[in-house]
Amino acid sequence: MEVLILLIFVSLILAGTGVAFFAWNLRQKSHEHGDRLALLPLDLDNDES
Amino acid sequence: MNAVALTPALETSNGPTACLHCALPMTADMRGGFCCHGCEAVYSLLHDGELERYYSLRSGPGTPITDRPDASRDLSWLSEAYQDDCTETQKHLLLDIQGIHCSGCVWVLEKTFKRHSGALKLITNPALGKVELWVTSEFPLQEWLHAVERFGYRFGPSLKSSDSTTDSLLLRVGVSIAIALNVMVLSAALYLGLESGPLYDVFRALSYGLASLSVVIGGPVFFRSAIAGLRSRVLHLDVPISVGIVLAFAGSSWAFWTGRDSALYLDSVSVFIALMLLGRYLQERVLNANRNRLLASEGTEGLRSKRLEAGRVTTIKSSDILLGDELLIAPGDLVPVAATLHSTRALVSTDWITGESRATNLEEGASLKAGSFNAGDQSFQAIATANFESSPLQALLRPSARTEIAAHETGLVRVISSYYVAGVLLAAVGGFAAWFLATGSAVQALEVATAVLVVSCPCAFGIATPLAHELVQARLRAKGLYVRSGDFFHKLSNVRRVVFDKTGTLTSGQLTVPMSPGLATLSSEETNMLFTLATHSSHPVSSAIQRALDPQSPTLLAPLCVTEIPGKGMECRKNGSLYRLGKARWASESGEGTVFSKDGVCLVNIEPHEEARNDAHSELKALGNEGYDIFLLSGDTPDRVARMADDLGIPQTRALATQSPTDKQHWLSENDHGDMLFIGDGINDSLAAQAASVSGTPALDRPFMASNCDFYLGTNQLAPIRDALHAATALTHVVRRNLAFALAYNALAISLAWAGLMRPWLAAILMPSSSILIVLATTVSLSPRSTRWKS
Repeated sequence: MEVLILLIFVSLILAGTGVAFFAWNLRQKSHEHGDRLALLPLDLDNDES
Repeated sequence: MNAVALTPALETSNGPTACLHCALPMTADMRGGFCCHGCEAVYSLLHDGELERYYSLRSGPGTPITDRPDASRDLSWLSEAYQDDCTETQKHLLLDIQGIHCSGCVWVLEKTFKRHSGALKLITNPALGKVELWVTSEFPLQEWLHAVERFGYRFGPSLKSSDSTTDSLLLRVGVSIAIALNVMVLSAALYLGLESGPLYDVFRALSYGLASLSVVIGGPVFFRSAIAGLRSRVLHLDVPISVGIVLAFAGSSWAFWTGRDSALYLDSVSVFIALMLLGRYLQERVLNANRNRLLASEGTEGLRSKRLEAGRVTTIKSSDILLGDELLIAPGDLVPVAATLHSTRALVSTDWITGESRATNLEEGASLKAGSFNAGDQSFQAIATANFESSPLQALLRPSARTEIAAHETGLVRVISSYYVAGVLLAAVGGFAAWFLATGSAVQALEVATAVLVVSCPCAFGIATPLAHELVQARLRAKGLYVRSGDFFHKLSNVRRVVFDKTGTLTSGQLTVPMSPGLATLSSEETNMLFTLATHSSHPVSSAIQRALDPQSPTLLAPLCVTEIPGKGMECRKNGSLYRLGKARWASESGEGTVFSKDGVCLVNIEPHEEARNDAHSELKALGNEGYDIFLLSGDTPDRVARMADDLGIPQTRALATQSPTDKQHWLSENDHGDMLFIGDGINDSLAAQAASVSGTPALDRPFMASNCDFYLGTNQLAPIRDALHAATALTHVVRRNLAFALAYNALAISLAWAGLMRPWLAAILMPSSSILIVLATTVSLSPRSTRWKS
């Protein structure tokens, strides 16, 4: 039973962290300029060449 | 620069079948590989600027460039775009942008931005239609803005803002889906035999906790809307969804606290909430994306004018103009108030306010109507004869007062919703009563009632209907039609009559000069002279003559002295002969309209026509064949309207000329019985657009018109209008079929519940299965290959 409580506790922490990251990501509005973020690797290509 | 990868324009033996720039299908009468002049110009600009990679980065077809992007627009609003954190060395600006739609667009903006010294950072937000930039003071801001606008984009003051409701909805969708998946995993353990022990207790408690969280997070979206609907006595889709969530969760709570697992439907509740939220998000995201593609309309607040004050030009808000102000009207600028011409002459177009297609030459002292444009290539001065407060533009630019209704509150869905709530409640009460009477056990009766409430799923409305709307809108977007209002398809499905404005709507707004026998028989010397005279004037007829002569590759007779006689035409002497191009009475002794003459003898009589859009003939004919009544409502003169009606096969009795903005509004108010679609482009159409049941516009250059309409066209063609009418019919069929399916599913599920055979595991299979089935059926029905799209 103690192990279960520990597992649930860890799971809740992980789930909470996931939700917090998701909310943070939404606040960054990166979903609104995904097209721009998708182009970032091209910048790296150009820098290397 | 990486290897060039152009859009693979489909080539056939007859030439390309898709435009080389926008990749939209070409019709038989389009020549040269491009669907319009704008696309051709931008294609050249991209190649000249070594920006061909745009085509490989772009996903799918692009947007046709409906306005030829050669003019530098007024950027007097730019001072408002600077943010508070600007310093002397670093500037921070926030601008709205129109026309941006893909990674290719973002790339073009970033590439051109970085080419200038002083460029620090640029963030482009295609979803919202905004750009944010940081530059140093050496960055040539106006030059960059004009350069970008030449690619067909438009900048405007920052008016659009991120929709916090949609953002919050996205957060709720994400969390609800995560919860639903977790509750499903936990419930699976219970269904597969976990019946006791500490793990069972934990899983059960976790499921209940997560399902409660799901109700807390997802429920308010529907509860708020349902309460608002009930307060205004409207039973829309959110009412049954809310009732479903509350009663199913209440039943499951009762089962949880009384230890009756046979009535514990926590996974079904969580999945239901997640699916309903997903459907709602789909619906809102699509409409927001379509709205954000255009600049926001500021109404009259967005108008700027140039006022002369002690010899200096000051840019002011047009709303500040007072009687007696001296205004400077640059080429392409609007005359915002009634005024008197204070320059020697001016070429003025009133097509925006009257629909009159021809520009007119005016001389000093002439009256200028509010809303007319400087159609010449010279600025002129005007004295305001009224305050802006009395300008008719006030009424014409007023935002629409129409109440917008969301898709889930319309038509059939609304009717079904009201029956649905009553039906489900009746089934639950009936089940409870029957079982209580038959067994005498209130607990068993409650289990049956809970099962009825849980399994009676409005998935067909909640997920399949938004999906159907999304599929239809995606298809129309690909064709160049963008829907702005939630109830568009519902209203469109009732349309039987289509009313068109003429200038700028059925026509491209350009004049054409047909290659008449007279023009074809001119000698090469005369052709060159006509071309030379035409190139020295900015009059629309001269531009049309140049285009007509282009195929003959005429030569510009450079050293000649061409003189423009104000209000009459152009003249030039060569080898002792006097050539004239202009008004008939001035240029020659015979002929009508515009004449090209030599020594007073008419060489050719030039009759410019308004150019109908490429597919206007075929589309109007097709609409007529499909049973739609076509009307023409124009502010232009009766002869031109009659000619256009004749040309397009519209009966003369349905072609109304000299219609003022209020005439159009009254005509629509009297004749529209919920079955009229109005398409117009000018400010003179804004009142009619508001009066019509459904309205659309091909005008994107000024945002006020699109903001008053249900849809806008991002293409030069009219074909998407017919596609939208087909789409509305297809959508109605699919929604009806989905409702029939939902009815059959509910009949089966409620029968099982009444018979006492419903179990949580069975509900966990039945509910998602029915949702998946209905989603698949909707997707197949509205796929591009489906015959439902055909008329």
